Amino acid sequence: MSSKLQNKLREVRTGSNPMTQQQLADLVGVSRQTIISIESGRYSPSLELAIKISEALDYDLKQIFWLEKN
Amino acid sequence: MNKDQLSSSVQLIAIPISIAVFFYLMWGEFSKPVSEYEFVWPILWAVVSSVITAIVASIVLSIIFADQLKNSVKDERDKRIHSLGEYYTMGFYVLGGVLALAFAMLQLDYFWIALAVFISGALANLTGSLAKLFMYRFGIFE
Repeated sequence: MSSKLQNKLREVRTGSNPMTQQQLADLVGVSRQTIISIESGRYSPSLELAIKISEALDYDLKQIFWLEKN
Repeated sequence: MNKDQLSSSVQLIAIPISIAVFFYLMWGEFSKPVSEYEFVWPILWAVVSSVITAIVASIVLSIIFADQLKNSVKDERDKRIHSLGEYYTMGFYVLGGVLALAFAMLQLDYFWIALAVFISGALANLTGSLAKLFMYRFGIFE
């Protein structure tokens, strides 16, 4: 059974405490293009980056990222 | 655009020029028997043209995309794309090496061995660069 990492990063990032893609990228030490790729589902971040993103947005990891089984 | 995208774009310009230079200079040779082909200078000129084109294209693209390059950060996605691109590059290098070895074992003319190494090297860089630019645009495929 295969699975794919899904996320609702855009929703969380633009939610109650909005942040631009560039601000989030600077906080977690990646390029804005990487944030764009994650939000559009074209790139699955490493566990380390996923944790950094969830900490930067002050959310629980599983509220932003989850595995969808096919 | 980051440095890896710039480098890949430069390769996409330089390699076709290099191949074109090689075949242009070889054109007159194809009427001769293979054993009489003068292929050393065409290959050397192809390499020189590739290097010169790469330098010029790098300078031009660096000027055009100066702001983006200055602010670019190399992160885990860039490293992943780079290593996957190199994987495709390596595949063609191995293929060229195996072909050259097979041609040598079959005692074919030197031209075929040189052609196998030259073309596989060019295709290796071309494929790797295309794969990287494709992954930057459409996402990582493994």
